[in-house]
Amino acid sequence: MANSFYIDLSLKFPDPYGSEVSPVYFKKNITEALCQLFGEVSSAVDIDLLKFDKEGRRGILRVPKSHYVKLRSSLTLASRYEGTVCCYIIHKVSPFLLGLQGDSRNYNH
Amino acid sequence: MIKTTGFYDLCIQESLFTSLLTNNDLIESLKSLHNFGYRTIAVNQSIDDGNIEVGKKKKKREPRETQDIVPVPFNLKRIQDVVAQLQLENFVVLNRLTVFFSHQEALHKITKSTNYKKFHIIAAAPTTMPAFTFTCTSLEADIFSFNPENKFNMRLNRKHYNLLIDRGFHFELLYSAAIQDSTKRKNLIHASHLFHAFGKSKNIIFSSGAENFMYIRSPYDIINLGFIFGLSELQCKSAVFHCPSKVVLNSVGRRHGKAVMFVENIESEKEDVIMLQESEGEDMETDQPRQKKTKI
Amino acid sequence: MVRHKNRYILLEVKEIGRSDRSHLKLKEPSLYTAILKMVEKLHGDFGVAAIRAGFVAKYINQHTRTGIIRCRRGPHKLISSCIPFIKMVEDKIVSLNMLYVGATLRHCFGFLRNYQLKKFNEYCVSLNSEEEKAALREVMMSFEKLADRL
Repeated sequence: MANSFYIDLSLKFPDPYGSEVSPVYFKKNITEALCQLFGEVSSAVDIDLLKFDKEGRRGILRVPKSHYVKLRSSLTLASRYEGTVCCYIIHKVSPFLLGLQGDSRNYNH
Repeated sequence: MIKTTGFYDLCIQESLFTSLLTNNDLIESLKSLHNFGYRTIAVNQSIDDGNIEVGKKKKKREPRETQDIVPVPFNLKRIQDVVAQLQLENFVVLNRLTVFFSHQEALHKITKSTNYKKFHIIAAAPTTMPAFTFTCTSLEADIFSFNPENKFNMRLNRKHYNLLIDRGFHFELLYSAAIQDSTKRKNLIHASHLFHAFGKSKNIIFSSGAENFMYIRSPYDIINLGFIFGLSELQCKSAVFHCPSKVVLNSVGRRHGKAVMFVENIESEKEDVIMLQESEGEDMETDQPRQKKTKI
Repeated sequence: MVRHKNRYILLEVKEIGRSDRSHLKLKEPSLYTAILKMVEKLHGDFGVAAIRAGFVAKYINQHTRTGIIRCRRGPHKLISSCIPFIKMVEDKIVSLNMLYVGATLRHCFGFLRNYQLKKFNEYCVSLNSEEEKAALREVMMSFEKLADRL
């Protein structure tokens, strides 16, 4: 079917985080998390940050299908952003970009 | 009878709840747990046998301290009040005790204490080989756990694994340790691969073991994490959903003790005959082909 | 049914800057840590944890500059993919060369015997006297004794 998965995720801090989270550093943190858990071989996969919202710290990633499991588990186990404790919350995943809009679980017919 | 549903997180450290001083914090935390999808949680307290002295019996000895080694179970009333206030459906909170031990004499004292019976779920975490063989043969508990700080230094083999499964144990993997530290991550993945090699990952559950709310993850993320631990897709889902419900059921059974049940047939012959006749009548109607209509 | 399947990787350690005939002074733990570090770099925490169970540096022969590593069958690909990248072992600049991957130690030794015989014949072309040939054959026999002991 589709070649890649689209992930809607946001970065959450326990205490209000003062400085701004730029898209470049956001992507860098994700690649670092992958590198720590799965090494350089897996962090070389092309992951694209399609959209990024600075205030909500929320973004849409695109991953090739083959590395989806690795990326998702390394996001689960990622704990630090530039030294401060953080956590990644994944809202929705879909093989189609339009699928991020709707949700069959919460849809009211 | 405890009825539990939803995703389970059977190990949240008690220090998480004691550190939440204001009621607002507690409300926020329980709301976020509920939003993730968790419907059953267990508050964990752990004891280890380092403090317990196994004294030799002397004829003239000083009166022993009557202090109980096992702590009083965490008071769940505060949490249950908040649950009622927020009207969270089906949210169940349980008490759980984790016992770290390295020799079995200390265990005898623990099991005989009065507070021990007040816990809903008991987890055993042996740290040495003799303690491990003791759990395989004669310890009554629900979960087999280990501390991810230390390497899993017990020689696991297929026979012991299946013995534990037959006795109703489930093997627990604590994932919040993996989030914090690199060495703990390696120990955890190593242990999970051992479980896969020796036991094909049967009867495995995931729990957080979190001391801070930042280390609790959504159940779907944990299901994905199971792939790294060597579990198949179905095993991943049951590790967060079906196996913990079995744990809760087993714990209820263990607390009530062994019982004998009698099953009897209730006599109701006449009713049966009448029912048969009615059903035969219906069959007769359907078996006969539809009668042809003749044209006049 | 629960027989752990292993892979035994036969390596040749070439020290850059020294001649082909010199003795290799390498210990098993240092080879072990060098490979472990490279696996950590290339495959991360997951790689190290996956390998750790059955990973042992089994045997190193100084005269023939060969070593044998054992690992479990699933994660053996992680180790074999890291070996070409190893540059330094115990602060010596080395280049590791995989000669053979066998399922049992006996397979490895069978291959090693033939390999040493081939090399011995190559060296014998340059040597003329019988005594030198006998001396070199001594070295080879000593390795065989060690191999049989294992």
